[in-house]
Amino acid sequence: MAEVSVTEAEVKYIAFLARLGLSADEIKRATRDLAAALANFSQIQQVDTRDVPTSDDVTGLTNVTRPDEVQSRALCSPSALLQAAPATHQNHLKVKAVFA
Amino acid sequence: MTFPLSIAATQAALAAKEISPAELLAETLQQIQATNPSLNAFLEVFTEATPTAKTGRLAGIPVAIKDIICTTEGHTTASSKMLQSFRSPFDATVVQRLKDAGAVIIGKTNCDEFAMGASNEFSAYGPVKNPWDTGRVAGGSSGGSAAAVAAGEVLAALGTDTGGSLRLPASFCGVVGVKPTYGRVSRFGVIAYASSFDQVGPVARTVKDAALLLEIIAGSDQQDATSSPHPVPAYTQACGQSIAGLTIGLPAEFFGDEVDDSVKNIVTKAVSALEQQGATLKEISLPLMHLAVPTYYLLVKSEASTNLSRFDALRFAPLPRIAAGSLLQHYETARGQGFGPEVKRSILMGTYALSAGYIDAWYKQASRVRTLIRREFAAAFKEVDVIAGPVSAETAFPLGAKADDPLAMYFADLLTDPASVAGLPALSVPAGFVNSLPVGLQVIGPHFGEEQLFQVAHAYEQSQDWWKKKPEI
Repeated sequence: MAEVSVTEAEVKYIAFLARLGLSADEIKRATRDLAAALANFSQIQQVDTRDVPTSDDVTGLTNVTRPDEVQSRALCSPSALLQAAPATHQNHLKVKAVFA
Repeated sequence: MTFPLSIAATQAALAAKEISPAELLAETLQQIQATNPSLNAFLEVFTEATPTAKTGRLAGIPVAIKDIICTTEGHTTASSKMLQSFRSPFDATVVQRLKDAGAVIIGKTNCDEFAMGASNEFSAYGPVKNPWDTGRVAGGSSGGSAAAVAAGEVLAALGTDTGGSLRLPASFCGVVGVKPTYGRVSRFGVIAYASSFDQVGPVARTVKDAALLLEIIAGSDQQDATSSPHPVPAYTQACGQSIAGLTIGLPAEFFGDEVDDSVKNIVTKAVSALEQQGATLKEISLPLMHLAVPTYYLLVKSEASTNLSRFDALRFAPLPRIAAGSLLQHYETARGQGFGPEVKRSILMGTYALSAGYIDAWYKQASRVRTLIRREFAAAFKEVDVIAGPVSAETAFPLGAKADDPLAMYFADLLTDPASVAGLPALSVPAGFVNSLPVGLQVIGPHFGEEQLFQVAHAYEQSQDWWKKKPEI
């Protein structure tokens, strides 16, 4: 099993990319857990996969389309969807400014 | 009144007017009330449910739904704090199909948070206890569904299986759990974990009941482009057909050193019982099987990290007041507060495996190894009709035994991940007990080979009476 080096700085950066707030303890623990899992999982890197395609589908479905027709039955009303949101404003979701 | 042991027996009792739909419902609610405090199988029970349908293949039958599947009744939390107050404005297709068949949706069952886990200990609302020994796990992630059926709270439930989440709890709790072929069942309205793996399937006390449920929920759905147009056969009619002439493959890798001898013994006896009914046993080898767990987790966690990016606490449900200045701070705080430990681990591993510089070595390599594993199974199915082996290397483990060791928890899927990686149908059927804990026999088929699975599992089930045993709870 190959050792895989994962640093706390890398975990912090990954957490930032994933928009995941972590405490200092969580970062320490995650660094250890990720390194241990990747050390084990690195065994797949010993497999010769030259000329082997990736598996983008497992049962052979391709180019699935449906008729271009208006559906007669609405799944639910826009207002029902809006009700699930914590904050709305004039039939829109209310969020914080993206460019502040 | 004693609770009938199967949907078929219950329907006969309803037809003979030995019980009324209202009595059945009252009995169900009473059983849930009596046993749920010690099991935690249900997160929410719909005490106001009424049996309205007079006709339909599930008329009046109460069915429980894993809380990762959307229902217009109650909440759909995925056992996460992130969705603690989410109410779905629509039913998942599978729920709608059950309702169309006359089923009564009786409640939502506990599971691992966002279906990530093998023990049901990662639920934000506490673990599900095993009805056979409440000091042990029920298995995950569909632990609530399996425990509810095992404890006689309901006759049937729906769960989902990504890498063993129906088969493992079914094995640990001594019930039937079926993971259909990838694409066999619509996932519309099912909260996504890993989109190239997830499938919805039934949990029931008998093979025929499970076949009936699958027959009802399977089939293409315009709302889910990954659902297959492959015709849905009458699975219930496969139950009772002779297995004489079928060849059952026994992969050496399913009987390796990792598997407890007591489990091997039970499974060996089970396949001998199939041989006595005219099936041919054939030893085979699947040399890449040891790569299924790493391949599975690298792909699944990558898919999870993208699927869970939608949970931003802006669209689906509010979280306790987040005092964050910027949108970025809002995301980080909400997701940091809303997600539990295994979900955070998943997002981190997936983001790592997909990030620039790492994607070729981890995600894409895993996807290529997946192709090799699929080819290996395809070659095996040229020689055998189905593959059989244990579901799990061990019986239900004590609560807490693996909760702090993520890698040990991942390897609880050792024998269920292979079929998932290849998108194959597989089920668990009760095969006996070790120290009063159930052991499941796993049967794996080729793509869309569910009929053979039911045929074999039913033949085995009818030769024994494991399915009649109920835990004392």
